Amino acid sequence: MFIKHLAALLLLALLGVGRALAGDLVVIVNPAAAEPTRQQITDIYLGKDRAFLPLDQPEAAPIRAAFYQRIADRDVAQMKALWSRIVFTGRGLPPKELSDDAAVKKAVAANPKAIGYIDRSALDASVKLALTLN
Amino acid sequence: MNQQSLKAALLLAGALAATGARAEDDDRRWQFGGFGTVGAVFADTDQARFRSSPRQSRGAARTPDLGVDSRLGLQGSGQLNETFSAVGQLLASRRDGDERLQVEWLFAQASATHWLDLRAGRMVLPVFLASDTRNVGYSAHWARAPSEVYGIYAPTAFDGAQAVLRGEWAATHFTLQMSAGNAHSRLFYLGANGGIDIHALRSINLVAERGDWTARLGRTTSNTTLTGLPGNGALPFIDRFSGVGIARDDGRLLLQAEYVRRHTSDQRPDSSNYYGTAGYRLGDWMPFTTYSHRDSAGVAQPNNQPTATVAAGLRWDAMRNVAIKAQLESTQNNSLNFANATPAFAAASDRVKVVTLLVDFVF
Repeated sequence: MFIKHLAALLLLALLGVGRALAGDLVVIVNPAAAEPTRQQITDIYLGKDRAFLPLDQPEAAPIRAAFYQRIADRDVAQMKALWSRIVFTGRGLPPKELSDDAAVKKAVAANPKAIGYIDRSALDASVKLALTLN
Repeated sequence: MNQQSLKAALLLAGALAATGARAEDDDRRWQFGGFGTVGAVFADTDQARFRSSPRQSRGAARTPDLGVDSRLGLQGSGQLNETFSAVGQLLASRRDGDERLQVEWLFAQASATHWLDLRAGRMVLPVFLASDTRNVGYSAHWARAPSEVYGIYAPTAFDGAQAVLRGEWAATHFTLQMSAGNAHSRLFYLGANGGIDIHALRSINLVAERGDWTARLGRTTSNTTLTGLPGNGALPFIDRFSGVGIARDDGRLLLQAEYVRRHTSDQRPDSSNYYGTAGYRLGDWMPFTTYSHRDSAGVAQPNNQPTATVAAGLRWDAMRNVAIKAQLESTQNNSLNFANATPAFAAASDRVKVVTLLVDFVF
């Protein structure tokens, strides 16, 4: 019984990790917005470029860790240190945190200045694809 | 906090509350946060007390001292509308004579367009590359900014006005800060129990960011008076302070260096100083090393000898929002980093080993 549960948990964990690491990530903007370059997207999420309003996924979400690893080669703790530098100078606020892909998509569809990242499987015509990260 | 800043704080809080009450709901209208450090420092001498700033009147010797680096900062900001916002920061640390709460920043900001911010109140004095985050230990790799460079400009904030311009050219982000105002702090320097008064301050600070690189160029001039010096009491001079800095951080390798130079009408407080630092991230661990050097003349250095510090340490991102650091350094008295020195210690340039253990956090 215990072994079965453990096996099921392991399988779930493996699937989860596999999905987080292998799944394609897409960066999305409003259909009315000009597509930012990859460098610009990096700068936006590192707080250097204010042309867009960046949106984040929850801190514990695997997609967040994967996004920062791929776009900036930084882990969640490094991003925290970087934003503490910007926040505690009154220079700006970290990207607004939304609950999931659907919430990010909805916010991007509603705001021409918003930019977000979601799993490729959640992509639809309400938003414009700016960059694929895999 | 003095009467004037208290009044300003109350006025600002009142204005924010009045406008905030009418504003529509937005979870980002009000932001509160904080940062802090709890640290212990030991030095292998009883001839002087190691300190992190010339604004500290005491420090660490063979018995551990918890006051050298420990501090707590609280920051609040309010966004009234698209244009107007305000930021306040309170800092409790060992500074200016005792452990007390001080208003580090309190300014109102008008963002006229996305490329121009106008600020008035008490703001960070941007004389170094990391001026604005030197109190936020969590944001830095080292235990503390090197005294040879960061110790020579004692005030960290000024009262006045500032314009911040932003622009982009050739894939490079530029920020230009122009500041004017006055600044003051206590200064425990060469046995003096005095202060530094800075008037007619004019400062220009240009920061360029491109990819992993950040470069900074700045110049600050003022009419400065050192007070409470032994003998002649006060030392007024025209102060010209310049600095350049460069940093590169790709997420793994961090390299950073700064050179600052003080050139005054009196010449005795003149000095030129630099440091170089490097760190390499290995997962949650980051070993680092720093070399800093100070070359000064006259009143600033009793024996007129250049001094240097070599430091090495390790940062460990132990958990979310918490970093633990250990730093070992071999340093020399540069009159900024030691208090209560015996005459023999002050006259010599003996090397002292200093051990620092600390926890940095943000919330």
